[in-house]
Amino acid sequence: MGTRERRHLVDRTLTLIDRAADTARDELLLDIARFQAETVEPYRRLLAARGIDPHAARHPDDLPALPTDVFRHARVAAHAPDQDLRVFRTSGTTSGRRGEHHLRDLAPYDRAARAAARASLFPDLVADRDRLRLVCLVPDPAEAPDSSLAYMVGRFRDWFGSPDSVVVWRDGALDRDRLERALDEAVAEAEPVALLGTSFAFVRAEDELVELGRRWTLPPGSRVMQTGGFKGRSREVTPGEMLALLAGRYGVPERRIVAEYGMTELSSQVYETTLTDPDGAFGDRRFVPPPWLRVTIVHPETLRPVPDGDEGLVRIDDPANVDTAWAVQTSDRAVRVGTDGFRLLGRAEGAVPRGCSLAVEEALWS
Amino acid sequence: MTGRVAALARAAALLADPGSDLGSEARRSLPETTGLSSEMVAWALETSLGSLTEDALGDVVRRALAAGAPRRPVPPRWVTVILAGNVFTACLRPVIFALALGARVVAKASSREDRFPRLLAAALAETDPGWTERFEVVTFPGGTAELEAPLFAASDTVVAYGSDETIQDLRSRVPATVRLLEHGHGVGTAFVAAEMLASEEAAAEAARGLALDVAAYDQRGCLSPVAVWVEQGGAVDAQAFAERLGGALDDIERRLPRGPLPSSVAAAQMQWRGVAAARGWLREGSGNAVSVLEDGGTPPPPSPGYRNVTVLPCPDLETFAATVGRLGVHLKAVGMAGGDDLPKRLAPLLPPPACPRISPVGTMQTPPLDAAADGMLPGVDLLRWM
Repeated sequence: MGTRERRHLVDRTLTLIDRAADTARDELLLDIARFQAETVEPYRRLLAARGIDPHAARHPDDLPALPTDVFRHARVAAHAPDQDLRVFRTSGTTSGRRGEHHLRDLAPYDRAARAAARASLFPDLVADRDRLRLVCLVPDPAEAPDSSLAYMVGRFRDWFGSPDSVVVWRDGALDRDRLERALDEAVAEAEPVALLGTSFAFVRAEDELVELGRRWTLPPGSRVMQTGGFKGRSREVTPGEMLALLAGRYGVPERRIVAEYGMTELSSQVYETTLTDPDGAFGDRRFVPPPWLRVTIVHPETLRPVPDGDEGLVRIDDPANVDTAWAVQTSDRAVRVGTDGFRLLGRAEGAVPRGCSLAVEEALWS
Repeated sequence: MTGRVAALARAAALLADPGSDLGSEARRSLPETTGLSSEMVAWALETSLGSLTEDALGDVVRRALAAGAPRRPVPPRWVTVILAGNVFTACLRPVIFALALGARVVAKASSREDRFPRLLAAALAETDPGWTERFEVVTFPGGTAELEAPLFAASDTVVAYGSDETIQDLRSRVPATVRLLEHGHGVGTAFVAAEMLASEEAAAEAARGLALDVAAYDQRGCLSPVAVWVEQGGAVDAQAFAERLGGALDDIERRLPRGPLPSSVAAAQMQWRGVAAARGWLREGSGNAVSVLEDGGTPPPPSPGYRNVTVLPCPDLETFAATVGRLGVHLKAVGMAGGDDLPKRLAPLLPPPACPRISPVGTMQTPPLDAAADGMLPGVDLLRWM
């Protein structure tokens, strides 16, 4: 498969994202799968191990997804290393070895990130006219060049942020003065803000702000995006506690707090629908993928889709991953909600004591 | 001592007998509490209890009591055994030997599985109601200080099974005057010598033995092999041997099926198999998978157990010993397929403090009554000498 074929797949992906429709999505996914079967060695091997001919597949479910751990143990890319434009790395706190996502082209990533965020996080901003002050509890991409989250939020500042947007997470810690100043100004000017941060950053901020007794009622139109786990960097709080914490500290109604679900191994992201569907028919929060993304909840052993309402593991088919892994299998537990949404239930922890067995077996292979 | 040994052997026979009420109850209830298939439970009961005869137990205890001669053996008065839940029959050795030596035994069972130790207590009580004062099973969450502290204070010996974190925690809480015998986390490994790869028949025999070693207790115990090293130079190479091992595991699945896979393990298995396929070679069989790891690259993720095993090529026994010797005390068992002199050749090659049980393949999970565990001899480990 050559450059022309690859370019055609990228163009089809960009068109699909722009159209925000899911027609022709599955056909595109299968074509990308066939491309990667020939060009992405780990995926070729996975298909060979399972005895699967990608050309015989009629539906994305007929083909396996690449488990996220593979990104920690092999190069997952259709292109050579000298064609890497950007390499995103996982945080690596759970197992020591960091996963790597090698991108040769940021156009699909940017297109997907912008479209999904506009639809779910900034639906009220008129394109090319409205901007919002973004207050980011995420490092600047210059400080964390291998963080996909830092890159994404940096791009949000480019696309959606007003000139007074700020980064308030620096050198691994909260810049509290900056945060306070930004939020005080927003309140004084009655200008809404978007607070964007990771769960552990919000918890660390909370622990500092509660001591100072600082609290805000942010102007109407403000919103919060919260993402990621705690990764051992802060105490853990339940989802309900997180909502109450954010609503209480920043004076943003819970229905304007949006969780984002993404990962280093993907180019697209998924958001909760609370901003666009606050009185949702399902009475509770759920993630709904953008139209170009296919999310399936699969049985942990058979890896086949589970019946609606059953718990399983999240599988994500992402055409924006044209050059890497079109389908990614996670160890995140979830349950489907409605026809198109899902609710996350946390990670599926392995039954073997992680630290103990990991240290032992790494001694074996070192 | 003789009376105690006879009673213990009668209790073991009672539990081993599928026709007895307790034996039947064990076979009925243990699959649910252990997560093993009913066939695997029956196999485990037969193989672990079958060796607990009066003669065999008496012989081991007598030898233990004589081990420090002419010094006088001082048996323990009260032994507390902290049990892990991964291999349900693991409670037998520490409990049986402590009772045979006349100690009072309190077994703190794992909250994951406390059925078997309670069945053992019931079997003993059936032979003689007086045993209820000598052997008691308690269950509460590990680390419950207000319950553990008086137990430890009353003991003169604590025998502990568990993860390294559990052992570390216990060390800080068992009084200095109480002896702590530790059995922490570990893994098994295996070596197939070139002479067992010289012919299809020999390779198939080794594969059959190893398949049982992997399949027993669904590869959840410290004696279970997580990886098999195959010596290069035979007619059957590592991948060909892996194929045979996979086929033998498929055969075992028919008579000793794997238990249901917990969803957390299924996720770990999915990841492990994905990496194995992406990095090397993978054969997924019926309730099992065998991978072949190619040279170089990053260390693979740990096997999730449940019959997922890695095969690796290896130049010679010395390289195998140097590799697995790095595990130190975590190396609990080595299965060997080859000439009779192989264990004797391996033992001096393993650097201290590694002291695994070395046994022929096919027997890794059925140690005889007098087998050492973590370098400690049964019964002898509980005694002091004066």
